[in-house]
Amino acid sequence: MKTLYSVMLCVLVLGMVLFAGCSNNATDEQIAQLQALQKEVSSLEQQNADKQRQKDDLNKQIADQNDKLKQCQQDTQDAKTALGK
Amino acid sequence: MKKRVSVAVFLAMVFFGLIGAQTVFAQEKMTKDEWQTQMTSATNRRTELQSQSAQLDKDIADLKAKLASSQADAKACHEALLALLGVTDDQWAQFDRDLTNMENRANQLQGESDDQLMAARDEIKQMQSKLDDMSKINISKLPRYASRITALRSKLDALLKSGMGREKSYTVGTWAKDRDCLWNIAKKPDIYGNAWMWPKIWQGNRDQIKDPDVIKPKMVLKIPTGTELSKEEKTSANKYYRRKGSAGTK
Repeated sequence: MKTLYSVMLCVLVLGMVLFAGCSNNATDEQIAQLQALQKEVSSLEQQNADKQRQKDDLNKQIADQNDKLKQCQQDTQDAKTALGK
Repeated sequence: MKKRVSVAVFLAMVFFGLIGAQTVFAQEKMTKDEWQTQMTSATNRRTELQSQSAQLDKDIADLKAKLASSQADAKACHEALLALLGVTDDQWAQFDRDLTNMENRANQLQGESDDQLMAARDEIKQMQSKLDDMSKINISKLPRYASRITALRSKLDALLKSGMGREKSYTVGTWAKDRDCLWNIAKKPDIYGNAWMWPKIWQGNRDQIKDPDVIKPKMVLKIPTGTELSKEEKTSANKYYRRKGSAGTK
């Protein structure tokens, strides 16, 4: 009986050691590292969305300027014809 | 012996309790494998986004340069056009504004009755006159304005004609038979019913009546609408009365 008791105690102690030291979970530091990385990704996504908007806006402005230029060139041609120049 | 068994049972319960707690805890907490998977995924995404960001920066820089170039070209063209037309930006803007305002007013007048058009006749004439002046500016030669001016001119002509259609006329009879003079004509109930309105007939027919005392038989006089004399009509009448008065005292 004494032997059984000793064996059970050993198993218990060994089990507790395994529980404490050999856990398969990520540590808090690792979780924090992942969260920081995810935050960085989210921030980059936001920045890229802003840049994309800026790019679209620039494209629109360029299209407007090109329309203006086209109209001006047409007006110039018309004016030259009308004024006989 | 019994005590030892009890201790052993207690320790066994603690052990299995810990195992159970670990199982529950493990379900809430991320495993290392999961962490590794998410880290890899997030790292790859970051790399991808960083690459996209660099590309976007490059695109934006290129577009800014392109925009600056387009703006410079458009500006140079516009300045050359202004010089060619001999106008300033402000004059052009004013021209555009005036034309738009007149178009709006003409559209508004189109919805009005002939009587209202008759009353707005002077305004329409002023608009026609202004349009004539505007037609002398080189900007009006640009097709996009020329077509608008032509359309507006037609509209104003039509409006004036509609208003004129309501204008009455009166054919002057003889003094011997009809006792027609401006005073008596204005007094007729179907004209103004008010002799003091005679200057309105005079001013409305300045092309044929130089002296209000002299009207000839068979003259067809326009009878302008209105129930009161305008400022100009009153001024002309006063001048006439003064002239008559001074002639009478001489």
